[in-house]
Amino acid sequence: MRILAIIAAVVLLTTTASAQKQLLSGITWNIGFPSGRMGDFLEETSLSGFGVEFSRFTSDNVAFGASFSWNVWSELSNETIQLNNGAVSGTQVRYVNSFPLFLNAHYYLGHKADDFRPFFGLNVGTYYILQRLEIGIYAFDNDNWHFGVAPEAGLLIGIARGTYLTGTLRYNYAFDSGSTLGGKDDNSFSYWGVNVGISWMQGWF
Amino acid sequence: MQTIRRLTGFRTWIVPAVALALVLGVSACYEDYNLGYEDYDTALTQYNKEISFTKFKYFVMRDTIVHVYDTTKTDPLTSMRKYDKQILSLVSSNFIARGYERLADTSQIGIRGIDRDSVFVVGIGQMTSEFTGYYYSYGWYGGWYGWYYPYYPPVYGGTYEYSTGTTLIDMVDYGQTISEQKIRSVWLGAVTGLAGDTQASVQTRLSNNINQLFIQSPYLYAGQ
Repeated sequence: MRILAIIAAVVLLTTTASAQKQLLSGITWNIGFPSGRMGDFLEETSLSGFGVEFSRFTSDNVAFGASFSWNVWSELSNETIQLNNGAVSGTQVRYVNSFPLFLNAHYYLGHKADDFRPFFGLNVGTYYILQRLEIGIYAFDNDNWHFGVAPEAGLLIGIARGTYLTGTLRYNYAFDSGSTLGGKDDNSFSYWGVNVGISWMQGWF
Repeated sequence: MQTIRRLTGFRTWIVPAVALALVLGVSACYEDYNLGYEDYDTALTQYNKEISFTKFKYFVMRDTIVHVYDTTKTDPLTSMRKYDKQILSLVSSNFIARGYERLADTSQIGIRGIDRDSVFVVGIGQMTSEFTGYYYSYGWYGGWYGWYYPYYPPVYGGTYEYSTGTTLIDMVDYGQTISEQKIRSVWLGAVTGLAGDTQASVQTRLSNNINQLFIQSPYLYAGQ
């Protein structure tokens, strides 16, 4: 039921927003590649993720907006975990769920009528990150809200009247917040995102 | 550059298509790794970092495994007795492989004039725990158990009862314990797993995990 509610909200918000003037709205499939200390926890690429984005153009080239997205990583591991005064071994399932919620600004190159419009921008906001380690019969959860930034660059490709394919390369960085699963100091997370999807523009044509 | 204008009905079907893709994507978020009994085993070691394990040269170990349980009830671990010989033999051989010499009993310390500070005592105990979990939405829930909480294996819907068995191997500094009149544990190994597996599989799991306790304790070796 929760999945259906999410999908319903995505579709409703997307179609509603696209009816507004000067609004670019879209949905994306988000692929995530862990980096930094997050990459030490798991290495698998996340193919499970999506994003919802809305931007309002204040000129031909500048847009401000908001976005919400989600990615989940899961990985099976048999790595021995070193503790401060010992170690623990066993089959592990490692998860990270990331829910970024951003305000953003973008600059689009070219003219509004162009079919190919490169853009770059900066997302600023919060990440809700849930990290989970299952080992043996035990499970350890660690969830925190993080302040974060995500610079990105991408491309809009016109495929139909007011409709675009979008592709974005985004570096996600969630600053240190709370304590780590293992009790260490730095609880920052970072990952690269490749987001592809479709967007709709209302008001230019 | 000319704007591409085609597929006017594009948006009528792309939204449901993308929504379907999202459903499939979200549905795949928790992978089923088809875990078996052995995947719920853990081998945990903890040790006193202030101790140099090379100071030990001898160890004493009783040929008995102590069952820890509510003695007003029947021993829930009776069925585990058939593994005692295997466990005792394996623990002893692992310590011997690390260069420690096993003494028949503590009387050997006086008879052979051995420095008691070079001796440790190995105690082995077992305990079992019963858990009940219930499934709700995407979460796993169980009773709190110290600083961690157990969850139950992936069975969808309703309640699920399971029991676990733990084998504890305690390494006690004999000399320090005698001089301070207080048990001084310097190394602890714990193997925990789900009960209910076949005998052959339990034997294999016990061997693998007891050996793992020593593999992940490279500091555990005798001095010259």
